[in-house]
Amino acid sequence: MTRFFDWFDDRTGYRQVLAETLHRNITGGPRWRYSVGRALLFVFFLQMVTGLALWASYSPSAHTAWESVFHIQYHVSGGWFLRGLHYYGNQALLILLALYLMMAIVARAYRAPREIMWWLSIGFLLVVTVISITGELLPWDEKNVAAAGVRAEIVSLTPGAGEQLKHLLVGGSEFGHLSLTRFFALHAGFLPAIALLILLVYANLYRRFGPATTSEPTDPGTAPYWPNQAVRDAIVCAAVLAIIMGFTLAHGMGPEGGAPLYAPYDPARTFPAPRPPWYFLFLYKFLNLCEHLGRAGSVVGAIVVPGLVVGFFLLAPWIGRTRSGHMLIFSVFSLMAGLIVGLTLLVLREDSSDRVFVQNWKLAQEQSARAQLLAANLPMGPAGGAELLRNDSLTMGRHLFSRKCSSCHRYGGEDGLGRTPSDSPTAPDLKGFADRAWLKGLMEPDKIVSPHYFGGTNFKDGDMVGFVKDTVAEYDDQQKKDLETALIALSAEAKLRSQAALDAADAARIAAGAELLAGTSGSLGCVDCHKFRDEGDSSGGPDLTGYGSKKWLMDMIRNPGHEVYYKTDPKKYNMPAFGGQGSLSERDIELLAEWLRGEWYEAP
Amino acid sequence: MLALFLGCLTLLTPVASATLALLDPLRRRSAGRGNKVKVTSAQGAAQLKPGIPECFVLTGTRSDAWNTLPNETIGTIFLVRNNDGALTAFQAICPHQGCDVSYLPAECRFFCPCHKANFQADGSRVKGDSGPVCRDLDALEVEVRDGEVWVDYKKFRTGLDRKEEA
Repeated sequence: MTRFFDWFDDRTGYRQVLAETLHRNITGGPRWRYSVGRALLFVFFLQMVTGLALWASYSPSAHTAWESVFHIQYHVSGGWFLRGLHYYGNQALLILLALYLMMAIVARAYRAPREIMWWLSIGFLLVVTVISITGELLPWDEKNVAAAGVRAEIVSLTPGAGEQLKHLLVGGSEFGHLSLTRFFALHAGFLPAIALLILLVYANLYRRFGPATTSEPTDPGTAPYWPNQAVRDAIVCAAVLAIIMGFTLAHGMGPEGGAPLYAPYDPARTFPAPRPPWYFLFLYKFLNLCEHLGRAGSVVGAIVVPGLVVGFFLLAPWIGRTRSGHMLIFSVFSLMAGLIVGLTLLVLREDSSDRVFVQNWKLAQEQSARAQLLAANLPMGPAGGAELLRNDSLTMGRHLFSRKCSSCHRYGGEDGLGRTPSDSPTAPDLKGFADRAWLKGLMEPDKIVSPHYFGGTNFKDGDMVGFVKDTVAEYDDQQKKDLETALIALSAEAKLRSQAALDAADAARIAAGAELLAGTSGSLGCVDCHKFRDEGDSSGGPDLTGYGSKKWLMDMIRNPGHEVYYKTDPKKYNMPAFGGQGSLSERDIELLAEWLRGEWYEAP
Repeated sequence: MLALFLGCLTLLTPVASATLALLDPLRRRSAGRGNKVKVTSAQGAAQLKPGIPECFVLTGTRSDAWNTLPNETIGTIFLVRNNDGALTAFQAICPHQGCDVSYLPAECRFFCPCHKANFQADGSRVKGDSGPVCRDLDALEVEVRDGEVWVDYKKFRTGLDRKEEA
């Protein structure tokens, strides 16, 4: 066996390499704090390995990016876990880097002869930061495309060539395919190459000069790397890995977890809760505060101050020559650290106490879950995830309602997207429209005049309200029972999915109710004003045939002024005709109707 | 001497070719140019209530690198009918840093969630409540053709106190 190793050593010289790495002596003996640098190397290694594996499944184009990330999350073996490691590994890398630089400052590691190592560390931090930023855009989801848009605008603030710089980054004047290809080339190609080069040079310099220590070693050169430093390094790296894995698994075990995946980007849908990731929140707040100082504030906050800070630390080898110089560097660093923590906490507190922001954030999470659910269960064509959402009545119905209907109507007191308008509605609340509870409330004297039904409309002084307040209020027990039966039948006209079982069970009662509605039995008198099937006409109110059904709703939205509904009497109602040449397409109207009826796709 | 000269030429040639390719986007100054897009029909325009902006999603043909995409969303705008009957259109992109602006009908104002900026229904900034925004919402040129509403869709540079095409 030894002969083989001799043969191998003659051809590679591996024994010398082993001697240099494992048996090299460490100045002052093994220390726990030396492990931080090794942990950094480990996390960088983790990012490269996970990154390469992700690369094998990722496709950087505007039509395939989100879809390929979804594929990794849901279909690739352990893909969600891999992505989680990469996502949280990035955060670990940034934190460890900050820690490493802090230790370097405390140990005054910027002094001769380690100036270049110090500059390389700062350079490495900047490179990793940009790797992090470019990586965020890659899933092409609504949150990160919005964020990248803002960052590109900040880049364009650079005096002189700002606009050109932005064009180079974005690949043109608009975000699109070329933005992804460029960001990906930076993220997986250029920048890691530079980072590796920095590491290589740094490692060589480290071998030459050793670690910087605050005190002179008392007994230099007695402790080899192996085994005592090696074991410390292994423990620290394992601990860091455990933390990264912990966060990954805590995010969720399985495809819905690992790392977040927001809804796919769609220019037709705005992103309501834009914020950078938590580790950049301080920059967001800092820039925001600077801008309050005036127009030049943006340039100062985004370019001048960061430039000055980096410049200051780059000059540390000269500033830190004296004791007071070192104190200055340490104070500036501590101040910055304090500011970073303080600003981050400030933003977190402000946002969590901002009700609108919290609602919008919840909406973004809901959209993220919905997009993943649809992509996991429905066939996804070349138009990708955005197309699935565009055809989803739950997603589109809410947005359409908020945009087109919520100026007058409400949905459960809100605008469809979970936001509560501050004025009172001027049209009925449409949540549960035509279901039994909704109709029951309509026929109650105190409810029909409330803003929940007709209270905010011109109908509050109309015939129906009068009928309910005067006649229905005076109903005897038999009539009340008849009314209840009739309403069950009317609600059954809608054929609501949520009531399918109930309607099937009450089939006999519904048949009886239909007769009551039509006036062929009982004395309710609905057809005195309404049409129902073959009885009555719509002279006094909308046609009740198929009330609340998809066709009825679509016809109503298309043209409420049609003679079978409210007729063209602008004094009576204010609802515009959205169909025909109006502002809603047929597809929009269909999506709205489906949503109002609760008929969206549900996972098996 | 020959080694140096030839060596440099050899090494720099691929670098030059790469640089040329990387600088390509600077050559293109296309999509920012005006783009006449139909917003809504006469019937849709008639439904606009005076003083209340409505959001419209603009569709048209968009080109993205190697794709020509018909019937794509180009962007969103707000259209409002003034009290004198004329129409004004606003770009739904905040002039501060490019976030999406939404209209809150209950509060009669535009709102940008990035830095909590508020604009009035006529696009002007709400005094004291418009955060770090440097100019009012960008208005777009409106053209009415036989009752149909068309708009010259453009994007403008953010962060400036004057409107400048991007």
